[in-house]
Amino acid sequence: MPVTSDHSAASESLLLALLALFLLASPFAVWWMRQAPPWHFIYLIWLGLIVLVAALGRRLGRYDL
Amino acid sequence: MTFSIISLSLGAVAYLLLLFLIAYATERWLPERYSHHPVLYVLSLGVYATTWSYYGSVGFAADQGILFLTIYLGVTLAFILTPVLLLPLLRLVRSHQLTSVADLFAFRFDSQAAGTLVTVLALMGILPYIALQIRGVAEATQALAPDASPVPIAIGFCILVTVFAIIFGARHVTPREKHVGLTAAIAFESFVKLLALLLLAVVVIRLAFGSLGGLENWLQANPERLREFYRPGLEGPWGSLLLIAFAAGFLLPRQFHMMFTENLQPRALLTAGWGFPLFLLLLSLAIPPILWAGQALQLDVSPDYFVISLVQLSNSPALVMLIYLGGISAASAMIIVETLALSWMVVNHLVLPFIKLQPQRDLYADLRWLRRGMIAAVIAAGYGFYAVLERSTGLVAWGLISFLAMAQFLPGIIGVLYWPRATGAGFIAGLVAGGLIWVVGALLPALTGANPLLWLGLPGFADGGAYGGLTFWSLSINVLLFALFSLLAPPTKREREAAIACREVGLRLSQGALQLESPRQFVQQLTPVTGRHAALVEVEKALKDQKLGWNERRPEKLHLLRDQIQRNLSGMMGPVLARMIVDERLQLDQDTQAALAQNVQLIESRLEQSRRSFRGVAAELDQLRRYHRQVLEDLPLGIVAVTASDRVVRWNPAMARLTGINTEVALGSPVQELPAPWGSFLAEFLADPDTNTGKRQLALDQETRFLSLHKAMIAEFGRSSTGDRLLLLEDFTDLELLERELAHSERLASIGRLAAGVAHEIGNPITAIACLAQDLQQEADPATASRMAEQILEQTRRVGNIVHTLVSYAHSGPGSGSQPAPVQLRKTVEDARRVVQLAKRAQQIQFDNKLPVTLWVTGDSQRLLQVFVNLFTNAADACGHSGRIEVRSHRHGNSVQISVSDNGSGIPEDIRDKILEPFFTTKPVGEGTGLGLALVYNIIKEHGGELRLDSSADGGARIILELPLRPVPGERGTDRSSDHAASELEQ
Repeated sequence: MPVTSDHSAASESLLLALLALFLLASPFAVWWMRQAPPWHFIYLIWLGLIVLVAALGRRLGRYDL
Repeated sequence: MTFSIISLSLGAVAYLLLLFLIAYATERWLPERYSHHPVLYVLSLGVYATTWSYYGSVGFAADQGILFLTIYLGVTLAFILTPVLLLPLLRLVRSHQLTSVADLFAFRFDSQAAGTLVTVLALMGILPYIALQIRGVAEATQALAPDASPVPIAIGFCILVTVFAIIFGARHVTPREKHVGLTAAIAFESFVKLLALLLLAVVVIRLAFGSLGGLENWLQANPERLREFYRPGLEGPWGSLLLIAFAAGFLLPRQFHMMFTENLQPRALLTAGWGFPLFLLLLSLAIPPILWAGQALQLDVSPDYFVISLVQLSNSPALVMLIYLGGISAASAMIIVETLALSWMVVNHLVLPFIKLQPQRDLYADLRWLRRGMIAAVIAAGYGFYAVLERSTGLVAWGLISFLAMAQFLPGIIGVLYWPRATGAGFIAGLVAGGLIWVVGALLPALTGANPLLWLGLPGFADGGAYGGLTFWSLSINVLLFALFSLLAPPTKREREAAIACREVGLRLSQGALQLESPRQFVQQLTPVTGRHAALVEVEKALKDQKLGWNERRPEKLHLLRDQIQRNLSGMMGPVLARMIVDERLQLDQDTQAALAQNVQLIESRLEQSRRSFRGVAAELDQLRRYHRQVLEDLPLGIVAVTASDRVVRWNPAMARLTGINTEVALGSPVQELPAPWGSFLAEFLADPDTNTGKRQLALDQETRFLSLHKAMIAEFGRSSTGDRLLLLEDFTDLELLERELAHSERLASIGRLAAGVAHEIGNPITAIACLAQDLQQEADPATASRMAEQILEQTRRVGNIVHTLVSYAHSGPGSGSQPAPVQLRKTVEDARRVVQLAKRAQQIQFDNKLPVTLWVTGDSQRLLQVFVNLFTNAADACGHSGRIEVRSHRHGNSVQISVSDNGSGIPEDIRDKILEPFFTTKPVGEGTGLGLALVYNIIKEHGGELRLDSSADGGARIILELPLRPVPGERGTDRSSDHAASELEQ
């Protein structure tokens, strides 16, 4: 088992959290809310994040927990 | 559309009975592959969505637009951080059997006060929230059955969920045993909630807009609705709400309970990492359409009850009942799980620390009933809050109040996972300050209607803008005091240990030597606290967990047993109480340094488990450790490390192969108790003052092994010696057998060389016998015949002596391995002389054996005979016919020097370095094997002696053999000591 399984997963999850904050809690989020996009726009962002989390979990799942 | 209270009650009761059936069937009949399926785990986390989400989210969205999504998006953020946040917490909780967030902090800060404070704050934050659920059910029932009185509805509902929680949630007293029935029931409730809301969304879209396209058209026709939806996101406390929802996602007692305490397999958390956010997405997806449908249909009710009002417009009793049951699901699941979690916290941190356990009673029964009592008490308290709560406070407000209370635990989580310097004092100071701000700014205004913050000119919590302010100030001051108090005083030893245990799960080692020596002593020690039955059960359980038996005596295994018992007790009664019991009853001697050596194997095995979490210098150090350990493991020599108390702490694979004793068996065992004959063999060497031995023979069942042993004292950094020792065993058996083969070959070769002399020696008497026999044939005089017969006998005796000498010399074959015995060297030298003089060229040599008859050494007489035969043969070859060989002895300390000198040509300087090497010879081809002196050297080394080359006074060679003087056992009825013998050696 690679020694870095936990470390890489941690790094990737932190990057993903930063991306989520950028999309949902940053001036960028203020900008897109100001544009009043379709009501389901935020759900699409959310779904995209969930897909990325699932991909990360799938990779981490190969290792012993 | 309205319903009678009876039909609603029957529906609710039937639904709750269905939950009973699901829980019961899951525990009894459902195969494990279904009951342990990650989908059930993910759905069970849906307990997060309460009546607040079910009914209140629509009101929240109406009031705060897109802000209502923060409650779900914050949780998603927490689940995105699964590898760095939730998984480490899960490992910690599982490893140390922590049952609640209060246990977690009490464990990390080794503080009962921390656990108690967390419990009190959780109770204050959650009890009104439980009341909110009761209110949600009662008001939904009233909405459908306007004539119904809310009080009996609320009481009946509370009784049913209390019974369910007691039956399916408090069956076990430890978190090791999971409540799979409860998990399945909660998962089913989540499914019902989700299904009901999604179905309602579809129905109301058709009802209000005709289709999804109709909804879009309505939004285009009413653009202000979409702007209103997004406006709070631009102006409101978006970030603060995300933060408190992030905290609530895993710190709410019910979330913590389902996510960590009831987790059946860690891998399921990875599924939950995306599955639970997806559940929340689907659940929240229904909210905006329901809100806009209510607004489009211009319903004249609070948006909190749009769900109930809209479904009534559908004219479908089945759908109305489903929506109603969805609300029952949301409320009952929350109350059941929250109450279970709170009951663990209250028992562990508010009750057990203040009562004395009664060892004469059944501990398990007491704990079970205590917990059940607490479940009833918590639900009763929730009902009490419901009875006195301000009805005007919205569903959302109570939810956020509760969330903000849980957010006060966030700084502590940083201390648990990432900040070892954090102290209990810092955590308590921060929590008290943050908690007080929460009480004043959020709880009191909601309970009393009076807002102390408004008196100070600050915005109250009911004001939307205050969510951000209150969150900011309470958490900022909390964090500030947490950091300040933590930095003011260093953590205590126990806090440091707990911090290490939190960061490196499984590495926590109790320091010191255990004073108990067997599992039965554990039982005796625990009995006065837990009672005999519980002590027996707990020790047996811990033995099983560690795969140990009742006969276990190895200290490091008993150490593991102690730690396991502590973890198991922690699951039953909290980490602080468990530690107190174990520290008091299963004491460690902190001053005994032997603990380090005993823990070596334990540390190594735990480092192996934790290696993937090492990084930076720690990872490099671990690599270095592994390299050094591998060096020891791969050494072809047997290595045994033994503590001062003679217990084995290292037993490398070479040793396991050599002895056939498995490493697992050897480690921790006293040396003397290792299987025969190794135990006594090693113990004897440990007791021996000598640090090195020559080859020692060890008789095994089917073979004899020749071993060389060495030992050294082990020193620790900063200490001269620990008393621990390191043994090295070299196995010379193969070499020894080869040597013996060679010696035998050499002996046969020398016999071959002797053959001519032997033939001559035997030929003369046989000729004489033949002549005598011919004369005897014709001799008539009996007296002469008798004399001649006597001469024949004399000649046959002479032949017999020659044969006997040869047979004696050739007697010892390869691998004969006779045991050391006293050897009289003078006789050995005489025997060697007779053998050598069988050769014709040695017959004229003058031998001068000056060894005293009192000179005895311990050894193998045959091999020592070989030594002198070889030396005399060489000397005879060097001297020629007129040679002279002298053998003398001289005492030198505790050894005797025997010099064999000749008057030959001596040993040239240039070959002295090579003369002891095997196969080196100066003799012509066919006359020597080159093994003679090499064998002499080896035999002398085997006897613990030395061999030196020198020159005699007349230029010949002088070989000096130095043999140790050993006590000589009685010989012919007389005891001789080496000292006595040595006094006679100066000759």
